[in-house]
Amino acid sequence: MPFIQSTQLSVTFLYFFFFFFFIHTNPKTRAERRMDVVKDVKNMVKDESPRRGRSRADFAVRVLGFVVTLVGAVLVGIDKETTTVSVRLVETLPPLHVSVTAKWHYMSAFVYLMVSNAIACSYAAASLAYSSINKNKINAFALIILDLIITSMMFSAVGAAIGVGLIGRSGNSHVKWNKVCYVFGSFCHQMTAAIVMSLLGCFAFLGLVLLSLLKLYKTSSA
Amino acid sequence: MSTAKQTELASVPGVPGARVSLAAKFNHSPAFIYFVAALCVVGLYSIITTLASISVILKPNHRTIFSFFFVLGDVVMLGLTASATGTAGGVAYIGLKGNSHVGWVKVCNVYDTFCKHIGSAVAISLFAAVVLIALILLSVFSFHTKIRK
Repeated sequence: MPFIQSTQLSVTFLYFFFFFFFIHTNPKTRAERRMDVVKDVKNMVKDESPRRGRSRADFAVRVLGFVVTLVGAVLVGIDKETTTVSVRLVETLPPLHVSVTAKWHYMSAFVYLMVSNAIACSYAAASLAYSSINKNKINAFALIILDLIITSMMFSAVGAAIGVGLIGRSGNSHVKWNKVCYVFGSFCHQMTAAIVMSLLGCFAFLGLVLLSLLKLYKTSSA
Repeated sequence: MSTAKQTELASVPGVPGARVSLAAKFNHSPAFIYFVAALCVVGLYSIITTLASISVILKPNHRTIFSFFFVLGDVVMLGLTASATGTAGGVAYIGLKGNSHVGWVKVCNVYDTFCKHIGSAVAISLFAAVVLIALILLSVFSFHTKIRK
């Protein structure tokens, strides 16, 4: 899939996500709003209502992380390109046309990126299910530990893919590793889009950890 | 990583019999340069927060706000350390095993002490990432016990 179509797909995903989560439906009348304020004050006396707003942000960031890592894993998984390279062996004979293929699983760093995206996507789905089923009592410790581990794993996968991709793009003359991206143009573009999506997923999981920390700090005796 | 250096004799292509000495250093690869830079930033941050936490122990005035900012910085530094480990590890793995599909030759059979040096640097930064995770969990646990009071 060329680079432009993959970015269009990811932009469409993000657009639908924001559309469905931040749309306002059916504005209320003044009497209904007054009753809402009374209900909110009563709730604040009973339990801490700022927690509702923060769990909504937590849910939204988890859904964002799920969508972005899913898109990244799909982009890595369908990355394949076949081109023909003309090789000139002897001056007198006409050049040979050799067909070469680039697949994502030829490079172990891209395999690690794919596996890492898949694990983060399934973790986001599982934690979404877990936090929406038990709304009252969530084991916040387990979620923070797992969030930290998944964050560091995603960051290391993105780092490995960027390091290997840079070698493929500009080569390394000291070790005689030649660049390959001038041959496989759309393969490199699609991998770049997948790396950008994975980086957005990294920041989503980082934001999850920061949200949990913020919630802990606000509810602790400061 | 920054002190890893090894010089080996290599044959010059095209001139039979001539040997040139080639050195392997960390700044031959941009991935290793990023590794050194990221770990320098994390090290400097650790020194600053160690001094700041010692001063907080001596004068416990604004303890919770200090520890909150320490945890925020620790999370960011965890991301940096993890990405540095991944980058250097990925490039070192290619140097170890090579990649026949793209025609990249392995170099660790020639530069063996250099590769061992780099491998130990990557292992130490992985340990540093684990220590940072433990530090963040310790701070989260101390916040949680403050709620119980």
